Amino acid sequence: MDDSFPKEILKISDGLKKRKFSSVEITKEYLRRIKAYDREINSFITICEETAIESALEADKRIAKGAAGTLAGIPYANKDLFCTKDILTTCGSRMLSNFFPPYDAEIISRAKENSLVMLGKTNMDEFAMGSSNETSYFGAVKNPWDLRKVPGGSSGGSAAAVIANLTPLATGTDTGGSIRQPSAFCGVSGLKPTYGRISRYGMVAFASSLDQAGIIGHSAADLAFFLNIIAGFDPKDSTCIEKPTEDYSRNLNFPLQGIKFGLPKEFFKTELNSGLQQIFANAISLVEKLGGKIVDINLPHSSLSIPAYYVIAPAECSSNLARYDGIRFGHRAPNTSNIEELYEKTRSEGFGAEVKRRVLIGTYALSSGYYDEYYTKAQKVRRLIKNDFSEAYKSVDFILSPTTPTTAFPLNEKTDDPTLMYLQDIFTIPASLAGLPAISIPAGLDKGLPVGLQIIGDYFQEARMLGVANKIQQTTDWHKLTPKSNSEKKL
Amino acid sequence: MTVTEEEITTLGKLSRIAIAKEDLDSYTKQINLILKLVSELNKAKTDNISPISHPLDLKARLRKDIVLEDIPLEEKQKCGPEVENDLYMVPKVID
Amino acid sequence: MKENWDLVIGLEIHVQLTTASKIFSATSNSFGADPNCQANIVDLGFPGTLPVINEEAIKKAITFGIAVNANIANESIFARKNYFYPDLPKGYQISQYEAPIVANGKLRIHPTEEDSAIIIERAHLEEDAGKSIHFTHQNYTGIDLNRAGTPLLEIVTAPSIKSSKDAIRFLKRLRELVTHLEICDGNMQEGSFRCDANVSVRKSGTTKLGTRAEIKNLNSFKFIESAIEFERARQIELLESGENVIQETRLYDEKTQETRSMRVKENEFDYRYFPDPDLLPVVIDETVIESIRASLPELPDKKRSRYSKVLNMSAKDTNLLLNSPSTSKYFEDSLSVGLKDPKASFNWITGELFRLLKKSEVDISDSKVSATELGLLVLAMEEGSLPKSKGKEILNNMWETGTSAKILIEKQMSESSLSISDLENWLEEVLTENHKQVEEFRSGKEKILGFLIGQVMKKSKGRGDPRLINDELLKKLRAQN
Repeated sequence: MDDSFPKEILKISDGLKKRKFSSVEITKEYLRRIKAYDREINSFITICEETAIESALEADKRIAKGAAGTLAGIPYANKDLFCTKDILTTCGSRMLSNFFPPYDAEIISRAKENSLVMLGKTNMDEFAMGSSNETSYFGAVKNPWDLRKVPGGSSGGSAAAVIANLTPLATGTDTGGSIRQPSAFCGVSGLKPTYGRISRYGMVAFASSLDQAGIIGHSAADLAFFLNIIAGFDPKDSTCIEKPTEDYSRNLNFPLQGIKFGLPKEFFKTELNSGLQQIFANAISLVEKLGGKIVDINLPHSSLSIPAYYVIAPAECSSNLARYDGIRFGHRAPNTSNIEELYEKTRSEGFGAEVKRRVLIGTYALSSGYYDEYYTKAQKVRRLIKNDFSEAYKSVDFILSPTTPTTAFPLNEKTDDPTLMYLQDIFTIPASLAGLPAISIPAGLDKGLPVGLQIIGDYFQEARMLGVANKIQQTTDWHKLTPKSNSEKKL
Repeated sequence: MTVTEEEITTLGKLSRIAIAKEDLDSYTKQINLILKLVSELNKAKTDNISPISHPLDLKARLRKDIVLEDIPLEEKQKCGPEVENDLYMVPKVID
Repeated sequence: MKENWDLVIGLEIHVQLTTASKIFSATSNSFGADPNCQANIVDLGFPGTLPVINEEAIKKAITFGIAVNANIANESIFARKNYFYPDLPKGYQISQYEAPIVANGKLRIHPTEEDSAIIIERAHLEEDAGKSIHFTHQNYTGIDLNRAGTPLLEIVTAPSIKSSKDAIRFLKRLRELVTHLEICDGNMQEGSFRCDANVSVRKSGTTKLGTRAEIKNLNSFKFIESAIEFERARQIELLESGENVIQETRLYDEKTQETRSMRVKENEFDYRYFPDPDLLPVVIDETVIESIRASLPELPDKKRSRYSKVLNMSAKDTNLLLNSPSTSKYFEDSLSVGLKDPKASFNWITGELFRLLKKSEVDISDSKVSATELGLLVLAMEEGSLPKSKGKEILNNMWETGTSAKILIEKQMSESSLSISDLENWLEEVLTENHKQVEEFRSGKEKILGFLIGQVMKKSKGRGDPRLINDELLKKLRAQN
């Protein structure tokens, strides 16, 4: 038996079906790697050794019967924001550090039905609030490219685990960039689909009108296969769309000839360092070489994206997090003498500082006297931003931008100004506000750190968008770059 | 628009989060920085614009009035920190 | 002193809708389950769970709106009302704020008086909270979330009710309406129909509203009336001694028959309403409204009018029948056997049948004697084939044994009728005393037989079986020929 396993989903699938190796073998190998290397990175909160091997055994049986789909037997990891039945689900928070949900999130159910093998739950910023994975109660995640740097957030654990080869695929969630930004920082591919394309049932809510489940992996093709399994209508989620899904891998060989790519003028008012600028310019040239046409477009209100987001997301989160009161689940402060004390102590102990800040802001934005000035205003600006995109898509098929304004920054950059972190999301937030699908793919390295290219599509254009990304990945090796590390063995 | 320490304390009470005295100053400063960021919204002209309720402007889907089977009581209640005789117990509630 | 003051009352009624499942979750919506056995993970607000709107709740709200001639919103929005209380699992209640489903309806206090109409400003849908059980001696409270998520229609009137009596009349009318529409079972003891009263006073002749107090925890008409009266007196006393009425929530204490202030918490009333991002705007188009309008059950006022004009029932009797839709249905079904006098059926239903129902603690819809059976019994008494004195006995027998009216009546008639020998004397007497009629019969006037039968019945004081008498008389008359 060859002891090196392929990383690409189709190749793993092929290997399993042809009995070159079993699901149990590849699962055990990933588990070994996690145990060996994750101490340094801290990308996993929970490792599910027993259940993983059980699932792998089941998957092998199914594969042997010939009754298995493409992803059967393939290991993957789940961001700890998704409820997994009887398996610890913490959301990176002390508040849920003892929470064992009695049910599975919808995407987890679908993955189980397709016999994927869950390796464990990945680390994340607390309740998905953050862009550096430093707010987790379970400690920060380190960027495998440079352990002194952040992996990005809030899906930092998932992105780090993929690039460190601790899992070939991982789920994430994206509210303002929480899949795309860590994917960029870690040099992996990360997809946020159209809002409502994937069920939010069982995905712990942060900002309901923005949250979307998504996928992180080594390539756009891999993401397409996983999207096929988890996308689609779920009657348990009222915001989930009934529009039928499609085979998201059908357009992987999408020809770029004549396809128009917009570059938003307003995005380039942000100063990028010369390295990033160069990398982005290279990516644009490549797209043109592949037949794409570059068009300047305007997204006039995009500078208001961050202010709008930082009203809407905290407002919704302040309400979504009101259920954490120590009564039916989760952390409960001991020795309290009345209900008010129970509430205050439980919530003050259970939540970290960033979460508290956002709850306070959100409460402020919704309170009487301020509601119109903040919340209503932000939702109006949101419509302006959405309209900007609609206008742009009249003249282009996709929009391109760098995913982030910088590469991974150092851990523990102490600052008293939380808004500096918020500016990280400057390129990712607009698509979130509009509910548009977007993907980040690796575009090269700047001083040894990955840089991401963001492609934003129009509503429900995931298949073609993945095709564009795949085309780029067929022509380049950026997505194959991995951190040079003495301890990393070839998997 | 800026908030005072007193207002932060009030917000804390409204959201049932106790803010320790020693942290009050930094929370107030940080939140004021966020409010400054957010005040950019005032620049936008939104006179005839309606607020968004859903990114795709969809309308509600209704479900049929059917009862579906539930998870057993023990499975739900084992998550509960304090359950007695199937009731969720909390310390004294003053009415 | 008190004559200078006008009382102003606005009512908020929470009506629990009789859907099969809850408003945002697929849990059963029945009453009386064991603690927390009827609360699923959505009701419990578990992380990651989401609400989905029950179409039946929407339909019932529309039904109400149509019945009170209100405006049904083309697009209505569910909003979150944020506050902390242990019986509110999510830390917010899904309700409606700026865009309620129903607005600007009317309901008359007196059915035939147009200017007794009270404006219903709005009716909106929301979910109910759970229940708290206070173990005061142990300083603990137990939370039962069975009721969390039950669909409520909150009906809000304009502050234009002028007396406590009118308030009660209005509430009775509203309860009658929602039960007849089959959207609510009207059971105040079980909490399906709950009322809060907003009470204020103002100097007679002025139009500015005074400061109001909201009285909660009123679960019987008697308490509502008493609470309003107490509140009126309390407010007048305050104002007359130069003090102000505080806008606050007060609870009614049935033991002392007084209202007392609830603890007011700072900022308690900032609910920070905003549209629920987990739910989308509900669009209701005309075709839906029209199809509901077409299938509305007969409204109580129409029934009332019909009972009065067609059946000649008095208003008082009608009100009693309309107390529950199952009673009026039973009544109407009983008439289907062809009774000429509805009042007779009314008397038997509201008299003996009600007594039997109460004794067995059974609702009329579960009556052991069906409406048609009762109807047949009353018909027999109407036609004279059963003496009225026997009615109670037969009805009780029907109740106990389940035997049909027909069988029992026939049995009664044959038992109570006289044997032939008993009859002999009376037959002879009648034939002797009515010599002239006997002659007439013999000369061919056969119809005179009826008169002779009647004479025998008179002598037997109704105990005779008319058919038997008929046969025996004929025998005698023909024999003597």
